[in-house]
Amino acid sequence: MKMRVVILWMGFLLAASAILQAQDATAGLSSPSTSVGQPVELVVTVRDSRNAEVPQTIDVAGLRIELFGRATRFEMNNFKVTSSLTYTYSVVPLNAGEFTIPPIEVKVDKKTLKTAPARLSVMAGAPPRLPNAPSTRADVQPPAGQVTPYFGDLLLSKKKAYVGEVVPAELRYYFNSRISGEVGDRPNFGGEGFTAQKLTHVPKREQIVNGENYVVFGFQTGITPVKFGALEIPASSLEARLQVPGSPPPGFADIFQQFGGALPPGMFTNSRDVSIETKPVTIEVVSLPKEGKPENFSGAIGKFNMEASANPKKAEPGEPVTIKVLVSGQGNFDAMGAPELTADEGWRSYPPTEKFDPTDAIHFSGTKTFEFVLIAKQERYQTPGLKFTYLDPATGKYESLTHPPFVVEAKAGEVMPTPSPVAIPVPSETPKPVMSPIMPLSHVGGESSWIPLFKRPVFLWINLYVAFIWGVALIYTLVKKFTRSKYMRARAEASRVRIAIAELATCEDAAFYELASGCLASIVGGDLEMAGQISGLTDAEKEVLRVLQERAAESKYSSKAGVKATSDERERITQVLARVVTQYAK
Amino acid sequence: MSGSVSLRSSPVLLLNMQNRNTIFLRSAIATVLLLVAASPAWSDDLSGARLRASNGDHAEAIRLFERHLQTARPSASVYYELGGAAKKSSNPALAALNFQRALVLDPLFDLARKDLVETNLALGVSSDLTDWKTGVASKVPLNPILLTGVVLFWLGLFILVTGFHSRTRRFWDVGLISIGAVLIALAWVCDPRVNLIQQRFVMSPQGCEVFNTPVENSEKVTKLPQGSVVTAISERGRWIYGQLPGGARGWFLSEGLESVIPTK
Repeated sequence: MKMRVVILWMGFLLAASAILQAQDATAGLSSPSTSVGQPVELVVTVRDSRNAEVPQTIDVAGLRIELFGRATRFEMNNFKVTSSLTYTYSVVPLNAGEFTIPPIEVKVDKKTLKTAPARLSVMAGAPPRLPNAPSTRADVQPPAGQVTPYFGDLLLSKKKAYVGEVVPAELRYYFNSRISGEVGDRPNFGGEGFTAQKLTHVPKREQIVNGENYVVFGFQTGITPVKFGALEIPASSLEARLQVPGSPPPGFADIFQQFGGALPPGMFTNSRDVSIETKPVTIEVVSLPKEGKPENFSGAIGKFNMEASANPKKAEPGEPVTIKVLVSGQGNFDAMGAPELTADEGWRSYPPTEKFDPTDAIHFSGTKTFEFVLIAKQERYQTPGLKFTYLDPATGKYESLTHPPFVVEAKAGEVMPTPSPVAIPVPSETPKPVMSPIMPLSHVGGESSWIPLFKRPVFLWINLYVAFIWGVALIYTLVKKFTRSKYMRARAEASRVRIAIAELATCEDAAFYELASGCLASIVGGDLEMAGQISGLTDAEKEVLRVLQERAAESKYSSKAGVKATSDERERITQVLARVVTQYAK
Repeated sequence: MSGSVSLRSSPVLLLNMQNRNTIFLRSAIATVLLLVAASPAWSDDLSGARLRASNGDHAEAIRLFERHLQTARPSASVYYELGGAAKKSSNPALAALNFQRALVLDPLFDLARKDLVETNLALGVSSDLTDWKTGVASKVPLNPILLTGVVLFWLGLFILVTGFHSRTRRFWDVGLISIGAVLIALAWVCDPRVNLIQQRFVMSPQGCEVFNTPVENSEKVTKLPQGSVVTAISERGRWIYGQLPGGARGWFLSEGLESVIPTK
């Protein structure tokens, strides 16, 4: 009787557990990142259901997702009956980028379940998957031989990396789905020669390995080598307490045999503490290539895009213009420097602010925002340009992203003082004139002819007129200067002397001496003392001149005024004066 | 007697004067009427163009602006407005050409310069505004410089002549002449209407192919994109030999090219 009651209770518990099991659907990717053309698996698991409807294809732009496998499991663990359906999709990336696979609708009986969205990061260029990358089921191999209840694996996206490059990695711990238990929060992970991002938990998922269904606990991180050479990533272990299949109490199996059945597998389990370890992995770390390395290389390694914007487009004196630069992609965002400003003459710039918005948990993908604050030192119509250089690990070459200057209108000067609130006048009611933005109607400057000013007739005529006046003035001045020249004055004097000498021949005798003396004074320039010193004259001629001066003085000042000259004297004096003119001219 | 002569001759003189005055007055009235009649036409075109531009009818605005500019005196403001309308109607090449023309007429027109740079960026061609002549023209008004130079030059010359006359020696007359000559030369060299007279603007959307020799099937040196500016050195029929923005030289067909300075 007691035995029947026990059996009835067991049946009740089995039925109740089956009813109480909540149906749910989960989806997981075999790898969170891959490259273009390199497929990964998307596994959709539906619990507690024997039949479900899933879509044959899933539409995601840039990805080709097709269903290619289905498996059913029915298990019982510690009296818990578990049935699950596993649908496996092939995900082939067509383009690089960040993709989100939307929730997949699974129709179970009359209900519709939805999986959580899954994110897939697809890199361009050469496939980064290396021999231990987790893209296919065959890559994940439990220890050969018998079915293994659990094992661990370390998956790296590549086996060769540059110093400073971030290598995405995932620690995976596989537990056969027939066992249950509890696992630790996170594995112990670390080592020398590299730094690692904080481990982040990947949602639990199921994966079929070698025909066995495993529950996978994953932890993602980013490994950054800090020295070149062979770098060994040591094993990491995860502690777990598992319920492994055990033997039933003595005589329990006999009860089932009485009813003609066998003991269901997993009905009795034993608890066991285990430590699951991954295998050590060695990667080759090389230093940064020297060829083509910019002098002020910012340290960015990965694949990036750059976008930028400037605001405001018009800046008053002292008002800053902010250039916002968005560097997005995949790489070592935590270590990269800011882009550099090119042709920034006339601008005062300040160190940029940085902000990183990761799109994954390991800070490998995302967008880093730099904000440069610039103030124009001189009036400027365009901002500096931008240049960002990074090392593309796929090609091993340095790539430069450039952005041309932005067109702005920035005035130079100090910040305009803000008027105090008291001083702000009450705005007048006069509405501002509405003007089209393309019509500067107030602009009145500029020329109204395609002919330059100096080619216009008015300008030429005015200058010609001024030139004519100047020419006349010049001629007048030159003529006047010529007429006042020493030569012209000497000529005039000589002419006057000649006339005076000619007059001597006809003058009265009483006036002869005075006229002759005046004539001599004219010849020697008024200085009669000079008359006796003129070279070239004979003593007799000098004596005649001396007598002439005496007679002239006598005729002028003495009581014997009006001394008359004889005809001989007149002739002799006239001859001597003519000689004096000749000698003086020499 | 003389009074009677005067009385006899005065009607004839008055008649002659009346005839001359009438002809002069008629001419003056006709001129004024012509100007008055033409003036509304200009202003109608201009105000119509502005109205259409503000209403978003940029194609019609362009037509009216161009019609206005065919008859009216050139104006930097109107060329700028025409460029703005062309820019709004997604015709960056026409916009760039007219912004350039606005800058030729008024090198101090900062808005035109800014829009030219912006439009050139849209066209994918560089804005060569770094030339020192352009720099000078964009900072100082050239006509006042020229007039100042002319005044100083003539002043120096007159002082020089006066110096001859008064027999006095002045050192600054030569200085004034030199400064005046430098200012005149500066205004001459930097005037865009002088140094851009040979420039041709590539208007054709297909760009402009540059050849080694003036034969259409000869070797092509390069192809200039729409919006590029080349400097013509000589012309031979349809062919222009000129210098490209990078300094290279070659032959190109005049079709699809527009003079930066209108040749009407």
